[in-house]
Amino acid sequence: MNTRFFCVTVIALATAAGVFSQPVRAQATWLTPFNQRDTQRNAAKQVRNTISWLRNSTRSASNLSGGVDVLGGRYNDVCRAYDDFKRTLTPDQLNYAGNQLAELDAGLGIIGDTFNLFQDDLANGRSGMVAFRDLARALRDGPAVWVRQFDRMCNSLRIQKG
Amino acid sequence: MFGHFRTKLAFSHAIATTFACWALASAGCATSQSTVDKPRPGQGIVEYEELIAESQHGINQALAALDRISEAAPCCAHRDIDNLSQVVEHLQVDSLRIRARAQAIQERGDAWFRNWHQHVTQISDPRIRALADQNRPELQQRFTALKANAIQTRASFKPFFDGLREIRNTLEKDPAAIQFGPMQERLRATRAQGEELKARLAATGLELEEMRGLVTPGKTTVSR
Repeated sequence: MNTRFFCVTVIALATAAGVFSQPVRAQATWLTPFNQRDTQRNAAKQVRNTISWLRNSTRSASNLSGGVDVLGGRYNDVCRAYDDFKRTLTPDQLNYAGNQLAELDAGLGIIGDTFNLFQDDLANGRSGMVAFRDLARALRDGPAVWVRQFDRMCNSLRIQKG
Repeated sequence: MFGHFRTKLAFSHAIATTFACWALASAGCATSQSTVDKPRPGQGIVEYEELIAESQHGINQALAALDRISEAAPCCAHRDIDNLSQVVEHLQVDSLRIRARAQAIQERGDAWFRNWHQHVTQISDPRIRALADQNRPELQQRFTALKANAIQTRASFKPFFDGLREIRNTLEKDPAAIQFGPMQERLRATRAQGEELKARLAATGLELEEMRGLVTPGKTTVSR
């Protein structure tokens, strides 16, 4: 008897908790299952990792021709990680963060344009080492701005840092 | 029989406990979501205004660097050329966000406005939500003007940047080039492009101010 009473009480309390959570739940239309949240968190972490690797490479890459290839490869890694991250988002998340994602897309493209500016500088006779130095600085500082915006977008989607 | 009863009891406990944990965890998540990042009143507009202010500051620094170089004839000092080079570098990074925003607005068009409006209507202050709904047509109008400015701003950045880089590249190779006609003309043209860019940013700022007034309780706006 007591056991039955205990079970009924627990189930009743649990049901009430579920029911009263509905109004708040309805506002948050991108509630994701735990495993999807983990996937998103890991994908976001990978984006941050690739940004770190790119920025670290700007300090270690010193050789002109090899250095540009290294930085180009690191930049492509960022783009791939970011595309992978976007694929983990639900339709509701993509809709909610539409403006922020569009800005991040544009920002990544603007950062990539730095390589074109570097090639233009070389074509216009600028010193290779000086042009490379500027390329490295832009790829160090630009992604730092970009990843702050990325973190803000993740916060607004409640994708926590790993 | 007694063993069977104990098994049923344990099973009932397990089911009830599991169900309770699930529901309470879900309720807990839902509750914590109500305290997680919600848009703050005016956050988007204020942030955009800050981006404009940062960009205008960077452009002013670039124009000041051009002035120093203009006054350096017949030959530029290396420190002035280095200063120009640093200013160009900083402007490239500091303008990243506003250029990205202008591109996003241009590419998304009205979807940008709908998304922004959706966020404003989720602000906790009911007065702001009411103003956002009530003033939606005028907000949409302001956004159309903002979008036009954003497109022109984005278009104005490139020639200004290109001019700065060309001047920098030329003077790095030959500091004495400053005294010749083509470089003087390039300086004038680049300066003019910088002033135009500042004007575009100022126009965008005015539209943002109007939009901010339309969603701020107690503020009256004057239609222009």
